[in-house]
This record gives sequence, C-alpha cells and structure tokens, in this order.
Amino acid sequence: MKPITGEYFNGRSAIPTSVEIEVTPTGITFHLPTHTVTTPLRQPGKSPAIFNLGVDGEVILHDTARISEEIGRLGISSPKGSHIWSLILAGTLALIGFGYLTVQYLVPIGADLAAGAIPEGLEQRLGTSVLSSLSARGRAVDEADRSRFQKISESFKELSKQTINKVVDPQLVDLGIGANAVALPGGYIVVTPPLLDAIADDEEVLAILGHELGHVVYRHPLRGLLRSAGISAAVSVYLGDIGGIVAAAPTFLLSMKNSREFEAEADQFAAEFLSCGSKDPALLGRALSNLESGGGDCGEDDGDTCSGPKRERRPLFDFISSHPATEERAAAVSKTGPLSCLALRDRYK
Amino acid sequence: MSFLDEVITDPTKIGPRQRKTATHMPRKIEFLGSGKDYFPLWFKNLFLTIITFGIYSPWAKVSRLQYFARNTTIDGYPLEYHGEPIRVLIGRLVALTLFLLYNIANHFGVTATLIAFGIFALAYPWLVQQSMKFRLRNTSYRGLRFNFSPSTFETYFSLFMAPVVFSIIFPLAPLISKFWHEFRFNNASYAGQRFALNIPTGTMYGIFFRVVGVGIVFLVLGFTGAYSGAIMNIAIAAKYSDSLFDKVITGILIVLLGAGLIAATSLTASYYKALLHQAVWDNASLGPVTFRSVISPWLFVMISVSNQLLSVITLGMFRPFAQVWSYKYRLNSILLQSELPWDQLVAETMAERNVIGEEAADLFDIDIGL
Repeated sequence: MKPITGEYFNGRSAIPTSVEIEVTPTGITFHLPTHTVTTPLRQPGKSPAIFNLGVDGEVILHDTARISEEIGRLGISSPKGSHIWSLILAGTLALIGFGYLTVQYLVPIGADLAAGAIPEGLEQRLGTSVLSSLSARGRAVDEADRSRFQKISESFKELSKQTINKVVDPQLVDLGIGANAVALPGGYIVVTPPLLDAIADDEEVLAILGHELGHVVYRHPLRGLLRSAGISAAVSVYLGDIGGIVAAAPTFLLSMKNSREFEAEADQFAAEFLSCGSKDPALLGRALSNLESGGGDCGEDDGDTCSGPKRERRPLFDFISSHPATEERAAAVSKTGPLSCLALRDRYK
Repeated sequence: MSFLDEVITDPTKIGPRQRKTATHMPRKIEFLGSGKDYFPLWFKNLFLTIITFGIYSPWAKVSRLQYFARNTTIDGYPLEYHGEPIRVLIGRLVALTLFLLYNIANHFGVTATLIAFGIFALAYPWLVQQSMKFRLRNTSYRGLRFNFSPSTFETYFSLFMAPVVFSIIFPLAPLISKFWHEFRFNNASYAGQRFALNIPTGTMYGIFFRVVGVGIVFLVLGFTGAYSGAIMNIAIAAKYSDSLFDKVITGILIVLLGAGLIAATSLTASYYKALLHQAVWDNASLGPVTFRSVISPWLFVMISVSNQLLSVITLGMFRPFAQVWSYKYRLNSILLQSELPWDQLVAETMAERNVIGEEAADLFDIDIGL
C-alpha cells in the first residue's frame, strides 16, 4: 500500500518537503528529513489537517481519511461525537446548579469576606462622599423638627453607647425622598424631616434609629453594595450574550432578596436595642405601621426603613420587595424577650 | 437556508463583479469550519470558564483561535495559531489590575479619577498594540509566522491622537477608521514582506455618507414605530385607565421599542462593517499579491440580523453558529490575485527567510484582548 505522506514545513521556509507518516498504536510518527517525531494518537478531523510539531515545525495532511482508516484498522475507537447532546444537557443542568450555588452562597459569602477586608477608613470615605452628594440636594430643615430631632438623637447616642459601645450621631437632612431613614457605609445614619411628621412618638423614632443602627452594626450598606456588585458580575458572566433587560431582572430580584434578609437582621437588632434601653420592642412595629399609614415614598437606598404605601399581603409583591411585609416585621420583633445591655454588648463587640 | 449557506461558502455568487485585472486565477481564502463542529468546543469553553470563575478563559481563547486558524485555508493550506494560554492569562491579569486600580481611584475624588484615567488612556494603545503583536506573531501560514512591528509613534498616533483629535474635529471622524486599518495592515508582515494598505480618503467619506444615510432611514423608521406605539398606548390608557392591562401593554411597547432601536443600531453597524471590509480588502496588498473583497453589504446585514435574532431566541445557544456564519462569509469573500504564477510566487517570495529575529519573544508578549 502507498505510504501516507504529508507536507512538512520546517518553520524557516514556505516551501514544503514531503514526509512519510506512520500510524502505530503508540502514536502518529512523522519521518522528518533529519529525525522522527511522534505525537499522541488523535483523529485528524477533516482535510486539510495540521499537525503542530512545536519547535520542529508543522505537517499538513491533505488526505486525513488515510489516517482515520489506519486508526480504525488498529482497532482504536475514538470517543468523538455520539454523546455530545447528552453532555450538553448534563452541562447545562450543571451550569444551572452552579449558578444557583454561586448567587445563593458564593457571592454573599465572598462579598461579606471582601467587606471584612475593606479598611474602615475606605468605607468611611465612601460614606462621606455619598452623604455629601446627598446633602448637596438637601433642602432646609425647620427649627421645630431640628430641636425635636436633637432631643431624640441625644437619647439615641446614649443608648448606642450602652449597646455597641460606640456613639453614632444621626443626621437630619431633607433629601426630598419622603419619610425615610437611611444607613450609609461608614456608619452614617440620615433621617428625613417627613419621617418626624409621620411619627409623632419620639420613642418610635428612636426605634427606627435602632433599626438603622442595626444596619450599621452589621455593615449592611457596604455588604449590600458588594453583594449587588457580585451578583451583577455573576449574572453578566452567565447571561453576557443576552444582556440588557433580561440580565437586569435576576440581578434586581436577588438584590431585593438580600435586602429583605438585611431588614430582618436590622429589625432584630432594633428590638434588642430597645429592650436594652428598657423600652418595648413592639415600638418598632408601631413605628413601621405609622410610617405606612403616614405615607411617604420609598427610596431604593440600601438600608432604608420606609415600607412604602399601605399594601395588602400579596405574595408576588413580597418577592420583588426590598423589605418584608410590615405585619411580619412587627410580629417578629414583638417576640424578642428582655435582653440586658451587657449581653447585647457582648454579642455586637 | 441552503441558498444562504451556498452564498456564505462562495460569496462570488452574488458579490460585485470581479475585475479581471490579474492574469492568474484568483486564489481563495476559505473557512472550512461549521457551526455544528464549533458548537461542542464553544460549549466546553463556556462551561469550564464559568465553573473556574474565568480562570479557564485564556485556555478557552487559545482553543477558539486555534479552531478558527486551523479551519482557515489560504490556497488550500491552513493557518496555525501558536499562542500560549499562560501569556494570555498574564495579559488578563494586567488588564484586571488596571481596571481595579481605576475603580479604586474612583472612590478618591476627581483628581485621583482623572490621574487614573490618564494612565489608563496612555497605557491603552500600548496594550492594544501588544495584543495585536501577540496575535500575529503567534499565527503561522505554511510554517512561517506573521509579524507586527509598529513604531511607538504610529501606535500612539493611530490609537490615541487620531481618535481624540478627529473626534473633536468632527468632520475628520471618518479618517479614524482609515488610520486604524492602515496601522493594522502597514505594520503587519509575512515572510519578510509587509502588507500595504492605503484607503483613498474619498472612499472613507463615501462610506461615511452612505452609513449616515442608512442610519437616518433606520432612525426615522424607529421613531415612526415609537410614535405609533405612543399613540396606541394613549388610546389604550383612555379606555382602561390605570389598569394592569395598560401597564403590561406599556411594558411590552417599551421592550419592543428598545429592541427596535437596538436593531436599527446594529443594522447600521453591520452595514458599516461590510463597507469597511470592502474598502480595506480592495486596497490591501502583500508584495505582488493584491486582495479583493466580493462581500455584499446587504447580505452581510441580513446575516448579522438573523444571527442576532436567533441568538436572542435561543438564549445565546445560537452564538457559535452565528460567529461561524459571519466569520465564514467575511473570510470567504476575500480573493487573492497575483501577477505572478502561484508556484513562482511561493518560490520567490516565501522562500528561505531568516525569521529568527521575528520569533524572539518579547518580554511583554501578552494578550489583553477578549
């Protein structure tokens, strides 16, 4: 039988030399002009096929059928082709599972670790810049509100010293976003004057501040920021080809889910905070209902307390909401038993 | 479909009439790959890239480029891609570091951001040039590597000064592409011969005006669509005001409008791409070889639009087929012509060359491109 031949290019000239090719059970051997080179056995695919011999150059084969024939004659089967669709199906399922694990566990854990690694100074700077840009659009606050807030924040500062051993100074800024309270990275808490109008009882305002302090203690604003960034990065890796609106939906839903978790944590903290100050944890539930009935628009800022316009219990809306339903929140906090400040300080050291 | 397949495989079927200037049969550049055999590779790459959080992506890139190179034949001989994934990985890390630094600088006020942006802008042309170099130096044909060796001035002129200055002096904007493609070609070489490209300025302006014209037509169509959508919505709102139905309709209209505008933009963009393909290849040469493009711009637009639609409908699964279609059509529509008989051409111009100097790896031989 005629030997299999290929065209050999030595890497220094574009003029080929004809070389013989031999298929053996150990590999494909090329008889180059100066020496022989053996590569692992592989199906060459369609013609023309190229065999890259590294520093020795390359061999081009215009009739690959001869090699396939030889491989077949030696009785070596090639695994190509037949299982491809089942592999693709299994691969797709594995990807979906992996995607779920990524956004459910890996991103939150990774974001929280990253948040831990970010120095407080950097977080502070971030918060300062957000605060200054928010304050720039702030409107004037009237004197009555200011002095009432002054009084509330005095007792809040006292209580925060007792609970977390740190004085956090809340600020009253009219951001034009309705009745709202926001915690920012770096431990800033901002309350808007319409919130004071909506809640007549000072102790209820204190409960709201306690809730925001919960966000501060758990570093929710920063963690939320990092989680959203991680989720949108993960989603864009997955759906990169589809882009735009399709990718925005899961990002939004997942961010909202994180946000609901954070709200529940902050509520729990607020209840314990109130309990330490010998106040009724149910104050938070009352404050939230007052806020609801008092109206006020909801901002999407991380850590806001506003619960939006009065709404019925609607499972679909819970799913896309940044906060848990108010009744649920009130019920959850009222379960908190009395807790000493000392125990609390230990917990949030 | 079979007609489209046929034309994609042999674009001379409906392309512009060929000039019979060269005395010898034009030789073809041919892409032999198909969506069917690229799909498994694409899927494997996607899968491994995702589960390794992107660490596999340099290996994926190299195997993809190898697939495309090995299936590209010029006059019956395939190309080969020799890039090393580890180099690509280093390039990615450099790019990632720059990106992270830029993002961190963003949090330290305007001055820091501007400084970071300046550094980024200055590094960018060098990085792009580096990855073009990497790509060509790692591509071989008949055992000889291509090369890319621009001067620093050319790099910064074509990739930094021209885009900045000519974007400001808007009427000169069409020249940005001219300089960019001439930069790509005039600094590339094969077997010691330099490619040459000089696109006549008039051609660039011709393309510019045609693209602007087509763009305006698409925009008018887009606006008409949007306007009738708005009227319809007002009519519906009047009838079922504040109902969920109204909101759903509004949502659908917004999505449709967005899709329409994206389609208009991408139609114009692929029309521009095809015209540019024509201008570049009709004016390019390599020593005694001249090139000729037989691309049909509207067919290319059609291919691109069907590719995009099918990719969206199949949630991205059509992507590999789309890439192959578009690549195959563009590549197969390039013809090579020469005044010399081919055997003589090969013997004279591609014979023994001392290419050792060209092979010496650059310390910064990295690839940042995606």
